[in-house]
Amino acid sequence: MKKLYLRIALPLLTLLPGSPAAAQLEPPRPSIYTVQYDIRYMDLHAAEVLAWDQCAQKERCVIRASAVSGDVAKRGAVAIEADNSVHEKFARALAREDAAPRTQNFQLLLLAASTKAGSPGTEVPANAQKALSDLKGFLPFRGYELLDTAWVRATQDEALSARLVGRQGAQHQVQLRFRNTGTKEDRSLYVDGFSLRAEPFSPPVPAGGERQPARPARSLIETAFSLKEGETIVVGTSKIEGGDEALVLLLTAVPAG
Amino acid sequence: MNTNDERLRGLLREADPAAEDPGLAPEEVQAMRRAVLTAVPEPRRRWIPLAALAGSALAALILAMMLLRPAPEAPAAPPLQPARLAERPSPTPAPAPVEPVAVAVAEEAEKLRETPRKQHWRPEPAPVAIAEAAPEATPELPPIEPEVETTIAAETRQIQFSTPGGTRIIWVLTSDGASH
Repeated sequence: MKKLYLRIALPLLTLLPGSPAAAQLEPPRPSIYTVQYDIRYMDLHAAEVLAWDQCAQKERCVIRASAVSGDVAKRGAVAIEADNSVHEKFARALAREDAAPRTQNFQLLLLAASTKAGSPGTEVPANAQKALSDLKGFLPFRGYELLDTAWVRATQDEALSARLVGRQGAQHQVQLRFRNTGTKEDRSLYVDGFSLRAEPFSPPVPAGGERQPARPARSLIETAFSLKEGETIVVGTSKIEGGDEALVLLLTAVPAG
Repeated sequence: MNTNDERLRGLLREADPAAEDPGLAPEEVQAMRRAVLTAVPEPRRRWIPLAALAGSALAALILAMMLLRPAPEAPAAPPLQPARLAERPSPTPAPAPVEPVAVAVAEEAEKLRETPRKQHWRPEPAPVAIAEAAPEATPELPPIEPEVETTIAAETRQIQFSTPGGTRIIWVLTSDGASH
């Protein structure tokens, strides 16, 4: 009888709170600690949102993003106070999203707009047709002639330079720099430095004509704007060299793939 | 106890001719009081309403002249352009200086007070205008900077707008002599 009681009581004793066996049966409580992650290429706001996406129980996470100036190696940092599972998820997501700087393809179309209805020039690419038709219906110019095109690939935060040829071989230099402002779903960017500059140019002497004076280098356009992937923006300036023609530049952020 | 004082008091009471006089009746007292109070008007009280009237007339005159003076010209509004998002406006012109306001002389009120008993007094002629020093012109306000705007130099203007189709256009206007 005594042995029977011992066989029944002993297992029950192990389940009492405080006993080592009971401690092993209970699931271990997750330990919460803080880790600071450096952000090299991502937008800081996007990185903070990415961190919150990894945290299932929002009330158990504390996330803070901070920018760093003067350090070319990183944009800032995100500090996360959470348990192991959140840290693991965020580390994997960050390795995937912050591995390399964003690159973007741009298409540049240089057009000459005139108030005179001219002969139809080279057809513009299909992705710029909509912007050109909007332009025709809005600005007072009647004829558009495609002068030159360029296809460039830019890396975020790095200046890009391209050269376009205008009338009579006049050289124009285009410079742009962009930074990533969107997320994986919202592929938007901000061009914080865009310029179009006419380089020094000596017009060719026409047959039987007089030599035209050389034109010095000058800045035509300097601006900044936001842009979405797949969008075409029109940048133009009028009264070029005292003539009736305007110079129009169509910039398209070509979608990847 | 002073017996001399008591005796003197008694002698005075005995010799008082009005000791047995019952005094005036209450009605007589009231009638006498009314007669005394209404007999002579207080000279200062009469001119308080007149002075107040003159002051309010002066205030109304000043207020009317300030309200009826011509307002300064407002700056011309910029011409309307379709679907404009942002444009750098021209500096707003300085507002016109405030014209001197005719102020009625306060001495007119004093003159009214000085002639309280004249039965046939004539009002003073039109108040004398005192030309005040023209106040300083208000400083020109800085032009309001638009939210989205980037200027290249002082001789360029930039306009940003969207077409009905959704295409955004940034147009730069140059105003140097060589271009025109």
